[in-house]
Amino acid sequence: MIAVHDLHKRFGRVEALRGVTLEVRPGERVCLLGHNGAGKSTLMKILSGQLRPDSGSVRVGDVDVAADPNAARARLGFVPEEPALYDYLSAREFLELVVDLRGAGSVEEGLDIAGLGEDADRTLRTYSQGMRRRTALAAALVAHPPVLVLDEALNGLDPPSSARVREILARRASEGAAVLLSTHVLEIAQAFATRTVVLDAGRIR
Amino acid sequence: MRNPYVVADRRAESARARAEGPWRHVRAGLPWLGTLAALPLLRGSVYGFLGASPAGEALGASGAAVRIGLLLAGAMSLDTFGQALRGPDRGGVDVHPLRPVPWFSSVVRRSGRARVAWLGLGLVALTPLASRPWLCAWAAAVVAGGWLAGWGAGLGVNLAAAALAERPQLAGLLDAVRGANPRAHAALLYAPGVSLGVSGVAVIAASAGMEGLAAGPPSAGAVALLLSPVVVALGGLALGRAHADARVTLPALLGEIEAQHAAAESPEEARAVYLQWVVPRVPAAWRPLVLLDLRHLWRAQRSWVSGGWALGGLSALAAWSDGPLGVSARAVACGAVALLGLSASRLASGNPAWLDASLPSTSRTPARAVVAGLTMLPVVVCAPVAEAVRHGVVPALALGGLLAAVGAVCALLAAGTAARWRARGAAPYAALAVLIVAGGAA
Repeated sequence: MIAVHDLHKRFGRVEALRGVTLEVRPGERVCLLGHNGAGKSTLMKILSGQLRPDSGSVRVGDVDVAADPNAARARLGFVPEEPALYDYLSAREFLELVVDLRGAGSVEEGLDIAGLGEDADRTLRTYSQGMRRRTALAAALVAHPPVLVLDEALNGLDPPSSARVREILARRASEGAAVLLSTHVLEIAQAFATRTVVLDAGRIR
Repeated sequence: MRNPYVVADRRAESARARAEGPWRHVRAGLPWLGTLAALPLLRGSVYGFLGASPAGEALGASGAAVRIGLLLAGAMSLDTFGQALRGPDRGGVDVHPLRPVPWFSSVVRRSGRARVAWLGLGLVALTPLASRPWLCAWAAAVVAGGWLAGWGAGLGVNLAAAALAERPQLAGLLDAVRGANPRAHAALLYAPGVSLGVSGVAVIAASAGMEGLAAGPPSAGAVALLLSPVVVALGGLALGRAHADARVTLPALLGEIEAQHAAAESPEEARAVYLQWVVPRVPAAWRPLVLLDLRHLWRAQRSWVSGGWALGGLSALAAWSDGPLGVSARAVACGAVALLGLSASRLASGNPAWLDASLPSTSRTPARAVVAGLTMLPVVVCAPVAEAVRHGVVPALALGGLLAAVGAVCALLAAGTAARWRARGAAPYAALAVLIVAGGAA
């Protein structure tokens, strides 16, 4: 599960998060909805250990992210808004690396999630933005982590791919994963979430 | 046991080699050709001592080895910063669980393999000593020591800096040197300089050992001095291994540093970058591109700025310790200037290709030459100042003029090759820069 308590984060004069408290239980699909600049990406980065809160606590799968970021990563499948991938690995090779690092999952299942077909053996630098995003999603999902955090991860996907990913995420949630997806697109939230949380000017509404 | 990071690196290296095709052999060969072509020039200048008394030859060979060794140590100290902290493996290490020791082994392997050619080039530059086999062997040990020490110390110090950047015990020290930067950023900024300092001391100790071995029968002390870079390299690698888990928290550390920069007092202050005052003083057509590259240099390639000052200090030291307008001062300062010219290809590699294609500009090359020239400024200033204090105004003016000329040619060449080949421009630039440095030293 994800447990965020009284989270504050300030960038100079801008207070990006103002006492955010949020819980995503196993099996839940929560959509974090908010316009650009509402603080969604800041919250997502803190959840994944890419940024530190000024105050408050974040636990991912019963691990305090600040105290043990590596253990938190092991419990978390995270897709950043702009995923960094090895340019000169193929999707298959990249997923092999992720499966090795996480010690769980199967490459074939990852390739199935990415839906790349014959392109799975091309280097990632030749991929379109949508293909790169699907590869990053597959890397986050392949080891079946108990918590999934996806930052604007469905943006840039064509409608069939988006529907397929939503279906996979729904299946993972039904298997007990806690899923948190951020987006600024209301239709995505309506199509995906069992619960929607609105973040506005750093506060949960 | 199979190391997944090494497997991924090997695969990426072969895919890259396939993608680059025959060009990579040309690219790899150019610096070798440049070094070979520079040898006749080096014979007349750096190796002018050949034919002197045995003691004079030993002293001269030691000086040549120190210059090449220090340049290699500086280059490796700068390069390992990128390899360890901003390497191509971010996709595997930023969001997935990290295995610190295998990851560190992969960085050691990758960073060494990527730059082993630099060691080869340094050794080729010693071939005029081939007629004195023992001197040549000891000089090769000093040069190899510079490369090794810069590599090991660079990996260790850069990773340790990431691990220690937020330690409260270091807060006072970092506050004293950070200037307008966030405290944690100061640790990262100065790390390549610390590495160069440590490895530089080892290179100088090794040269003392070399002189001892050349002067008489081998003694344990002289051998120990000659091997001191190996000790520094091993110590650095042990330090890096001990702090490899800093890579887990590195994204958060870099994120916090960026956030603190954004939190500067005013938006104007937040946008201000190193040497921005130059912008209104260049031709109007170049201004936006000079500002763009200065911002890119300051925000994404800052190790070139701190490295430039470290090399400036090194050049000042060479000018101070050498005779008036001596070959050591000229060679080290010209080499440092040429090395800093590589910042142009780094800037080009960070510039989106689509931007260059969609907004072509004839001002890009001169603008980038200005910025590459500005990175050389610490060397162009520090070495002549040291020369002036130590030896007087006339040699200082001569050294300053030489460095300004070498810097201008290197900056134009670096910007031109970067405009034509982006990051790959580093190879043809390096080939030509070796010749220019040899000419400058002569």
